[in-house]
Amino acid sequence: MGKDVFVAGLGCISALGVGVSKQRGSLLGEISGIAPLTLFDTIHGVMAGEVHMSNEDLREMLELPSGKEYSRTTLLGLAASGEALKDSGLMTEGLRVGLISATSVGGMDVSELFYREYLPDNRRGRLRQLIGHDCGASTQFIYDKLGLNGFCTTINTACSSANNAIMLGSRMIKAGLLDAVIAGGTDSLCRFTVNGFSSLGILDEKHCRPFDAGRAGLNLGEGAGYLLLVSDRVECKKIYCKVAGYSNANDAFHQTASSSEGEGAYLAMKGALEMSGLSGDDIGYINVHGTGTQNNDASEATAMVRLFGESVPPFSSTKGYTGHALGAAGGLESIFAILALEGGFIWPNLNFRERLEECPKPPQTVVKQGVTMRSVMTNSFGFGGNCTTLIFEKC
Amino acid sequence: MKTNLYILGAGGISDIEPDYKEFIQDAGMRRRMSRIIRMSVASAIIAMREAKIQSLDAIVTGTGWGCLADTEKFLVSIIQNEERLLNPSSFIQSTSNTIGAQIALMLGDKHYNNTYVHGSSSFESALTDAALLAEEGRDIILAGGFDELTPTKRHLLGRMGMWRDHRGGEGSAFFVLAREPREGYKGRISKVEIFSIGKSKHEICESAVQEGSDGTLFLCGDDELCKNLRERGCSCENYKNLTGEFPTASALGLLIATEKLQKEGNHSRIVLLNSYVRDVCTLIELSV
Repeated sequence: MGKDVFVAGLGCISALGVGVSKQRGSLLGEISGIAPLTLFDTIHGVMAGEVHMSNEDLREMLELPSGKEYSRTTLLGLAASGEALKDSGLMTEGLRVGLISATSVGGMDVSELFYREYLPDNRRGRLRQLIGHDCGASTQFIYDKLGLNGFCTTINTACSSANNAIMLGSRMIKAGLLDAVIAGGTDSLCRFTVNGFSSLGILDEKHCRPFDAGRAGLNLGEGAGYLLLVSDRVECKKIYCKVAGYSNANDAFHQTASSSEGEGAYLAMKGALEMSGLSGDDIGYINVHGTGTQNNDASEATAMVRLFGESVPPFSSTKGYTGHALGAAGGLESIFAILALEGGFIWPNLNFRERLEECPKPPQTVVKQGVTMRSVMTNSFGFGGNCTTLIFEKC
Repeated sequence: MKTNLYILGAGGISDIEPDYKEFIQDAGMRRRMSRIIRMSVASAIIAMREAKIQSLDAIVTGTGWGCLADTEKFLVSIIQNEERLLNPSSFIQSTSNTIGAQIALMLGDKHYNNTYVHGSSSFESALTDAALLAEEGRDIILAGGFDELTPTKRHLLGRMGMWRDHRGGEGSAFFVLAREPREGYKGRISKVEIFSIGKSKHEICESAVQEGSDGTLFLCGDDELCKNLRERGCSCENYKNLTGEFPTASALGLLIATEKLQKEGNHSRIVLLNSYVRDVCTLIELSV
């Protein structure tokens, strides 16, 4: 126990583009990836953060054989996890390298197609469209493709999934069970989630406005983000930062709504901060969950004020850039937080106009550069009150 | 990984469902819950009552298929209603962590809560997390596995040829695990292992008998594993004759193992070896 865990590689694909450098470019340029949904037909006129590549383009980019059925979740996940491994330059030989991947929709995009055929006539529908349905299928595919040999599992705690994957990966390295691990999440847009969030009445038909007093809901997004984590005995060409703290807590309030006092969020942030041994002043930036729903942002703001008092660190939600990528959100946003730490940036919270009653401090609204900071925090909260906070620290 | 998780209480439900009123008093809550949620929440309550435990330090769950009935219900409503006026209830309950969340909600438990969805090693992933949590100093951990076989799943697996060699099953099992032994504990999980996918059943049996087989009962979910172990002179039973086949059958297998260890008294160790279709094999070792 007590081994330090370091971030040695990053991989990301989102509405901001393919690869980590594209993310940085769009974040700096304040260019949102959100636009009207085009991936599939739906009666809901929604805005979404789509990855602007078809499944066929993704398959070709990944040099996968044609004629097979790949879920979009799998394709996005392979693109980002492969980049993280490559970025680290890790020589995997002789090391126990694991994969802990998060997803909330799995192969639902393909299952939906199957079901349309199957429902009117249960003899119909191509069975191979179901092979990738289970959440674990995308993980196992990626694991095999990357030629890994260590522990492999899949986490689904809805929107906090990827943060939980990064947390478990860190814990396994600390416990000496792995030398390195690729941890993060992947999720694709699909009718199931578009209709799900629409039925809850929390989709904004325009660009989402996280942490704005007039916010009207979230935009969905998709993508994948993975960190390559290593123990201190693994040599790497570059170390981005240290995983200094993590904590998972439960709001225990409601299956989908967050408590008004932000109990789960408060406990998760507090737990991570205590573990890191840092003080509130050491946190240079918080990438908040900030979905843009009435409930989440008020609850999260309350939790931040409870923890940090009058000195809430600079913060922003980047969901105005990417939309809410659900099980992948924590993966994308961990990378955005690490890029902020590495480059001394504070990313702006797009579309903000008026601050919340719950939070005296407004979010950062324009890119801030040249900021000296010691550490950054990122939050992800999911259905079932599942709240997870991560802290990354310079080393 | 090697571990020491002391089983203080265990509960499971498979083919015979109890009267849920005894476990979930709130009628509205009971009605809103889908079958798999009711089964799993009741299993967790049975385990906690047996352990005489009211509060937990963590909840970890595993499911191969997730909350299928709710997922299907919402998917059907999207298609049939052409995306109009959908009831969000089934969407809300379709996510795999609903059960861990419902238990936390009922207990007002604000601690660590995680859900694994990795085919037939979902429950073993949850146990691995439990072992880590114990190592990190958490005292009492609730761990469970569950899957539901809906009519559609049964039909689809049938079309895939599953029932030519397997009998369908479903169920849930939960365990209250403690870091330290407490009076009246029922057994100790001493090892949890997930074998890599390429490993042959022969190699898996080889590794399972490495630490000897004296006083050991092997509970396997697979005839091939049973045959191989019997040829090595091991005492072996196929527990899936009782549970049927589903991704987290090993959770019910562990419940059977726990009962056997207690009641039969002639084994000091039970090794649960599991395999599910083309997925990875897993091992859970239960010691006195």
